[in-house]
Amino acid sequence: MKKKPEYYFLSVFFICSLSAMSALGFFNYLIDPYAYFLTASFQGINEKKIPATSQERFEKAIQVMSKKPQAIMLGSSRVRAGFPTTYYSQLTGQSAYKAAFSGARFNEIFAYFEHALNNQENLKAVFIGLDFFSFSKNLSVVSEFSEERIRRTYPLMNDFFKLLFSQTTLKYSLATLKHNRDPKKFEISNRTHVKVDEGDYVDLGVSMIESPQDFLKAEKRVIFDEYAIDPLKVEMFKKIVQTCREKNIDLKIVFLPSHVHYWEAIYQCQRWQDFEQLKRQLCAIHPIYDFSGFSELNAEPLSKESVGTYFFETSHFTPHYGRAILDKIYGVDDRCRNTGFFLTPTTVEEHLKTIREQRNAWVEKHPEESIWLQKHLLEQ
Amino acid sequence: MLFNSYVFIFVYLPLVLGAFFACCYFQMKKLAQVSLLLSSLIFYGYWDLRFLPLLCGSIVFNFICGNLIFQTPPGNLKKIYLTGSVALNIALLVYFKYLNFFIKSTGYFLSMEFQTMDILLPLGISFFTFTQIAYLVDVYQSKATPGGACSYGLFVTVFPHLIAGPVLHHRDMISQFNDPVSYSWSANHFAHGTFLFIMGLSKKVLIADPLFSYVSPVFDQNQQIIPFIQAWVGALAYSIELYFDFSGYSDMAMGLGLYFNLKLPLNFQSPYQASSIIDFWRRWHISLSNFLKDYLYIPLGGNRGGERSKLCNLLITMFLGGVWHGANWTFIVWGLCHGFFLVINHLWRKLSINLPSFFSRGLTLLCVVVAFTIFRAPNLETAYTVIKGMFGFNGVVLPESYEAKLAFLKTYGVIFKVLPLSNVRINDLILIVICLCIALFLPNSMYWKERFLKRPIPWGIACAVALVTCVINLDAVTEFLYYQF
Repeated sequence: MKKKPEYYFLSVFFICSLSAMSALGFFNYLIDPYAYFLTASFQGINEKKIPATSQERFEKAIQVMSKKPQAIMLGSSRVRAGFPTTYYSQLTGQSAYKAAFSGARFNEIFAYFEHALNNQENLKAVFIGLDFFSFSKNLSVVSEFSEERIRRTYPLMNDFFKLLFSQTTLKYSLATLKHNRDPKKFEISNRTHVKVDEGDYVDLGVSMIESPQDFLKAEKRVIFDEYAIDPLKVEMFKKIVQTCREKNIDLKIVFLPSHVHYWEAIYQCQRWQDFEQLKRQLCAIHPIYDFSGFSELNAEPLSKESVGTYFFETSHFTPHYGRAILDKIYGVDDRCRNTGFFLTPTTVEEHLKTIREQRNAWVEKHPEESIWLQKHLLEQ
Repeated sequence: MLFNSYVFIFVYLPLVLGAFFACCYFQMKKLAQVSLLLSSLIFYGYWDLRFLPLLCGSIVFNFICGNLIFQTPPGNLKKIYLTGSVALNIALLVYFKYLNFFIKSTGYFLSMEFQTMDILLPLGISFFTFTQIAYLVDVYQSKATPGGACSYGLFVTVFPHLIAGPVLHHRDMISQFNDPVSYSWSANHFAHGTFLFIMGLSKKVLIADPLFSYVSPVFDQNQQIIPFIQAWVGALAYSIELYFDFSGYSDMAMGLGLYFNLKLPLNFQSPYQASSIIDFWRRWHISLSNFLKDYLYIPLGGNRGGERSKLCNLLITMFLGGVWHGANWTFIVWGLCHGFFLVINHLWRKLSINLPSFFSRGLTLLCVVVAFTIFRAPNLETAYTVIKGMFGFNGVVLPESYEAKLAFLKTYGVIFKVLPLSNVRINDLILIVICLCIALFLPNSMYWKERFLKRPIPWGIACAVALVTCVINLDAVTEFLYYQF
């Protein structure tokens, strides 16, 4: 008897789709780019893992679940690009992981802190890199961030399938495979692909190097123009401090450095007072090392052609600077001249005054840069 | 739970189908109904468990009211029962959906600031409330006969239509729930269901979702000036996104219904190919249009009171149709716009002047796109800014990188600069034009549904490729746009 066409359709459809999806799932499982399934390691295939270039929040959430680090570094892309995890691990003597991603809002930092704590009862050390923007009340949430995903010790069902079937994982698997086939190609540092740590590289934005004025204009429009300190985020900061005290976790907090052009942009957007106020509020809760402002290191001349000693570009500092910061806060040595002030309620005013004086000195010395910034920030 | 999520495709659907057809195999019809009802409640509760009691409460209340109305002889008491139950349904909707809007609007008009209430909008409340209001009216008019509690629960909650429609009629569904044929596996229905589900999923994941990146910068970034090209890209991208998103959802709903041998009503019929606004409303969100016609326009008097009354009723119906979509002035203005368009359309018809097809289709599309600009905007100020841009009042801006090749356009007032939020490039325009052409010129899912079994093997391969492509792209799960209504 002749089979009906619907049977042909259904047979072909299910055979094709199930076999294609099985192959896809098996490939992603084998490569295991997120190191979640802990699949057997094969040289030239999946032995070396590389950091994800997209969906960082997803990657960090999954890796905190699988790695269960005893020391964690939290913050934005500045932490991501500026601090070598292995060095932090050496200083703390703990297995460390860097859960830092672009544009981290403080509610996200708080969530990832709790996520780390839920996945590792013996969390020993926490490092938080603070940014001015991360406390903004008006900065909208990033769609990739998911509260549901956080504070769990195993992935959501959707995330589990995402680890097997999604294009993000597929692209990541292909990149991991490519890297394992030719590791040297990945490990070549250039102007936009820079080394942070052993096996840890970051891709910088070309536009950030080529036209920093556009970056600063975007910061003005998205962050500075509407800036207000979010009391809820300050409350979260307080909760982190309290938890660390209760659980005897070593907590180190720094205001991250950025290039003087960034600080001058905040100043010219009339937000410097907010920034100072934020420092006052936070250091009243826990002492903070302040690397922001107009120090000599932050005033390093930037070049489009080559990476500087201290800065990749206007926003991100180099791991060389990052090591110096870690050395200073862990008392190894002090290579950070006139910066890294220790802010407490008793010292904060004096340091804020010093930074203001540093700013005046910088403007006096570089009036053309200040005018250049003003011109661009006023542009529509 | 979303149709376009891994959990739904890989876990929920296989389990529900397995449970349902296992019951059917052992000829346990009642158990099959119960399994479908429970799985529909799980489907709803998966989203937010807090809303489940409200849904169940609403079902129980309306089931009891339906029976009460049915058992009461015609007269004032029957009318009181109907009015009371409909009023309570509307009160529920007003509380959850419109109360804060009223508080804010009153404050705005009195130049005072009133404290709004912390109310979460339950998912799909407009759909399940309207479905049940229609049921109560049908019972009152003896067009529907109350049945068992389980089949009533299924009529309201059956998961393919629960969140975003189509709005169902009790009489159409209950006969299907009671039909023994519905409880046997049909390869034909399964094949058609699979085809429609894949078509809908592809519309949503491969066309609608990628367009969001063109829409959001124009509407969500509080831009003060939106130039001509950027404004049109935003408006067209949204119109296409909304169509593919909602018709994709409707295709999926129909496909899922067919898995369970349920035929859900058609909700879209190539609306952007409409030749007039009247024609558009016969093709767009058909089940809602029918609902508004049957339960609002006709009770208001329809066309029984003469031409003036008919036009007035049309305006009121469209105004309320706008209000139904949400608590925002943009929806009200959108509804009124369509009301006016319909009035003009009816008046024009009386002149008996036939316009060339391309002109009438173009004009209809223009009206629809402009109205959707208002519909999408978060507030009327943004809608004004975008529409101002669409009509050329904010100049024409092209990306700076095109200056070398198109410098001659400067003499016509074109400005070349970088617009960080919506720096539209030629490939973006090509993509939008392609998507628009699909909506304007290609046959719809129903056309293909009637034909795909003539060539089952190529279509089987094509659907498998489409499914795998969609599955790969499901990592950034996005809600259906109509879930918010």
